[in-house]
Amino acid sequence: MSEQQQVQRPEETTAAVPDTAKQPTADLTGDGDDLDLDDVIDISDLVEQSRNLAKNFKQRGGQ
Amino acid sequence: MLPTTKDFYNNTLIEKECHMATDIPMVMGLETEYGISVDTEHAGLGHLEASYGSYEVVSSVSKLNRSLVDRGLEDIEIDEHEEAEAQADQRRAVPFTDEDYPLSRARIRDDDLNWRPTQKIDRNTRPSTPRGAALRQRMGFTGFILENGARYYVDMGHPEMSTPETLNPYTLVAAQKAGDLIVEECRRIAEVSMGVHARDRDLKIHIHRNNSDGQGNSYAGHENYLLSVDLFEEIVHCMSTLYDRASRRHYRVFREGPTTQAVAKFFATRQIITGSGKVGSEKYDEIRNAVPYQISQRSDFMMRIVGVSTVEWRGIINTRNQPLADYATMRRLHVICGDSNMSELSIYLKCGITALFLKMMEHGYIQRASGDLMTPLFDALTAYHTVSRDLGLNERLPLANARTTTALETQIRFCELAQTFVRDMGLAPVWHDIARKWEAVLNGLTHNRAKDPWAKNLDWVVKEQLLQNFQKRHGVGPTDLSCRALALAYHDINPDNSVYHRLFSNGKIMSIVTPEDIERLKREPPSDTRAWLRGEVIKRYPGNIVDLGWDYMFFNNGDFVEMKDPVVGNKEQIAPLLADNPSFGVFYERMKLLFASITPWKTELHAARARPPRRS
Repeated sequence: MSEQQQVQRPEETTAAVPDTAKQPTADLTGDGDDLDLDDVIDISDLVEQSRNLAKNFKQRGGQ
Repeated sequence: MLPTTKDFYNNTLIEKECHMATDIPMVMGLETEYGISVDTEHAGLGHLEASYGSYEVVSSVSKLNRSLVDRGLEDIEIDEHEEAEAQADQRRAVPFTDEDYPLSRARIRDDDLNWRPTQKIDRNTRPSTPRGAALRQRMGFTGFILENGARYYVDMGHPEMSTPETLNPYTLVAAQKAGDLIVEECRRIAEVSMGVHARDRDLKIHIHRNNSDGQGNSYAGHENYLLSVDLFEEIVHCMSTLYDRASRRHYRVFREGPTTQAVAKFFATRQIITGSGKVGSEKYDEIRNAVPYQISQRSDFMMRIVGVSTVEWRGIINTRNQPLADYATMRRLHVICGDSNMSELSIYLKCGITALFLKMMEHGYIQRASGDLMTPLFDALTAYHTVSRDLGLNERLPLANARTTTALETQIRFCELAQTFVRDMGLAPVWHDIARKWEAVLNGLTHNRAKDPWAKNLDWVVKEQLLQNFQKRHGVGPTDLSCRALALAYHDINPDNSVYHRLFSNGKIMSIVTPEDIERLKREPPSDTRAWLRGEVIKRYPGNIVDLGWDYMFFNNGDFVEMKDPVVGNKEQIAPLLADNPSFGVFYERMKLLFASITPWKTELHAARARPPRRS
């Protein structure tokens, strides 16, 4: 998948939303790649910088 | 031709033959409690600072040069006297103790990891600093109503954004993403102002759209769907009330009838689409590392099938009876079992398929379905936890009739029915789109989800693949801290720190809505509900508002407007009233006429159905 998949914008009301699932567009059918994401996109810096946060991540219980 | 939501949009109601006497428009909304951490140079990461941070983040919205209704926060500077008063108020607060919450205490259990897999609830969300306490005192519980019709406030120490109401799942996705952008803008402002007050220039605020901290604390990603009274009462039916002398509490006993069981079955199995993926377990009777990875973040916190509480002993079906609409004819199903999603496809389908399912229930499609679709799960709660842990998607779930099913099989059956339903009912194209994408995603999950062009965009599938690749590449185990760091960074709303945003901006995760629509919904409400009226009043007549809520407006002329019908007050109705930029007095008279001309059909049609309010 080389480019961002995008669905056309529908009108605001429920009356008009594109029938995207039927559109045989290349970007929706994909290229068969698996999600070997960090092969292409380097995320190691993000992982590294959130290590400390993950270690101490403590939240107040909510709803 | 049966009516669609479009008929309601045009203010026409057609009685039709179905087992429900009314057709309630499918109004939807989402609530998100964000995880928040404040990293200070001196104090490190602390949850008391986080509570103060929440007030700082939410109150920062007043600096965005955006119309809103606030509680006197235009001047954010707080004087010493006010700080001292707030501090005194803080001291008067009753401190939290375990003794207050025996149910929580009963669940506490230490294990060899010195970790407490419990749902200990700290209700004292008062910030520890004088400035935080003063902000809290000024803001109150209501917080802000924004010009886009959303509500923005602090709930249990977390920043919370509730989207405006809409009829369209597409708009809902855009509204939710717009909410994220507003919170992120506020975070940047708050980071500076909090840093100044804390005398710490390096202070950082981290905000995550997720549902748990991995240590037994969960916070919400709620959904709301408008239902008819009949369907709501079939799902949530209180049989009787018991009084427990020991705890001096009233308990309500709910019937778990066939409709309730069918809804529980749907919620248990929809996790394979709506899950956002979690590293580890937080179930009270498991140790954290017992489950390296599971589909849903909220699953571990579901502790009963039906329940009223949203903070402890949460139920798959929440019984909150607060319609925020006409009590005689409408109810709001408050769904608390879902995850907060990052992926637009996950959000779109989560709301879309649930709305379709509820519409099918309202029209009797599910009830009349052949086969085992209405057969309840033998134990819906256990099934709920099982589905979340079933990464193979092949675990057999026992049914009450001694047969078995899987989550995937059940969802496929619901989806097949939905295909028929949208065709038979002549629903608007958005619902056809939902049904097709639902089918496509299920098809992808059946085969190779990592390669499927649809299924590989679901949150839990993306995270699963990321984690597997990371472990393989770096030679770490599933319980390594790096894996938790990766899973956490996925949910960061700051694009500079977020794994999701990096993948998205590189075209690795599909989008559903356009950036233009997201940007528009930061400033404009959806045009198809009363949110439009709310937004227009805030923008044009802010000085005339005394108070504003989801279903009411108080004005300084002493008048009170109830907006009982969520689709009345939409753009089509309101725009003509504002065409000549009328004064508030003129607009108010026109608005009264509009409500008077629209309301009678409901009064007439449902007068016989009106019933006295029940305690929620």
